[in-house]
Amino acid sequence: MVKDNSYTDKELITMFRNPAQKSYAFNLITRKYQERVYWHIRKIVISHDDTDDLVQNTFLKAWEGLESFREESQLFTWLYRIATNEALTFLRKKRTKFFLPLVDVENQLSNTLESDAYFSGDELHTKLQKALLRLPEKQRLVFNMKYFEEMKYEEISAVVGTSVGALKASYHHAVEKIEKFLQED
Amino acid sequence: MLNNELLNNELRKNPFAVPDKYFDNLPSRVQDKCIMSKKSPVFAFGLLPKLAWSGGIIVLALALFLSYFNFNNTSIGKQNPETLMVDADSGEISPKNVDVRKSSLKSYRNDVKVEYLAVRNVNLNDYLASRY
Repeated sequence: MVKDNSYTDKELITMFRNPAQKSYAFNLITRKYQERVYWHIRKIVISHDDTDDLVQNTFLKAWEGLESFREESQLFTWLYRIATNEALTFLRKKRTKFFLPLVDVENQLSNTLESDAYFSGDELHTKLQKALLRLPEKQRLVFNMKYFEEMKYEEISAVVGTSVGALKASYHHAVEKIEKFLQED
Repeated sequence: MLNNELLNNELRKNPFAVPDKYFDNLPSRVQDKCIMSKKSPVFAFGLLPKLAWSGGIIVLALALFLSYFNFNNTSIGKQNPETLMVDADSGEISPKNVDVRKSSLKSYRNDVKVEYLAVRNVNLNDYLASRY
C-alpha cells in the first residue's frame, strides 16, 4: 500500500475521476496543498479570517473544476491560479463595496496587520509587509511568490499569465521600491 | 539582485501564524463545504431565480393577453342574443347577414347566432340552404 503523501498529482487526479475514490482523493489533494494555498492567499489579503474563507472557496472551485482539468499545467499552479483570482477578486469587491480608492484598501490591510492576533512578525517584518502593501497588485503578487515562496519565474508565469521577462522586470521594480522603503527612517 | 542584506536574510521568514490545529481541521471543513455544495440544489441557487423570472414573464404575458382580449372583445358584453337583437333592430345586422364571414358578426359566438336565428323564427337549415 502506497503511503498517502507519496501519490503523485497525476495519480491523485486519476483517483479523483474514479467516483468511488473521489472524496478520498480530494481529501489528499487538500492535505497536500492546503498550506501553500493558505500562505499564498494570506500574503495577499492579510487577515486570517478572510484567508480561511478564500481557501475554502478555492478548494471548492477545485472540487468543481478538477473533473475537467486538462493537465496542461501542474496541479499546484492551477490551484494557485484559482487562489490568486479568489484573493484579487475579494480585494476588488472590497474596494467596490466601500467605494474606496486603492490606497485606502491597502491602508485598511495595513491596520489589519497591526491588530492581527495571528501576526507574529517583529517590527522589521511589519515594515516589510507595509512596504509590500504599497506596491501595485501585480508587483506584490510577483514579489510574494518569488521572494517568500521561491517559485521559479516559469511557475509564476503559469499562475499569473505574464511572460517571464515581464515578471523579472516586475520583481526588480518591487525589490527597488521595498529596499528604498526599508532604508527610510 | 537583492542588495539589501536585511532583505536577503532575515525577512524571508513567514511572519504570519494560524490558530492551533488549523491545518488539521481544514481538509474536513473543505470536504464538508464540497458536500454541502453538492447537496444544496443547483435548483435553489441556480435554477430558481430563472424559474421565477420565467414565471413572472408568463404571468405578465397572460395578464397582457387577457387585458388585450377584454379591451378588444367588447363582445364579451355582447355575447347574448338580446344584445344581438338590439344590434339587429338598430339595423346594424339583419338576419340575412348572419354569417361568420361577416366582420360585423365575427364577435358573436356561433351558438348566439343560432339562438338569434331561432328568436327571429328563421329555420337554420333553410337559412343555410338559402345561403349556400
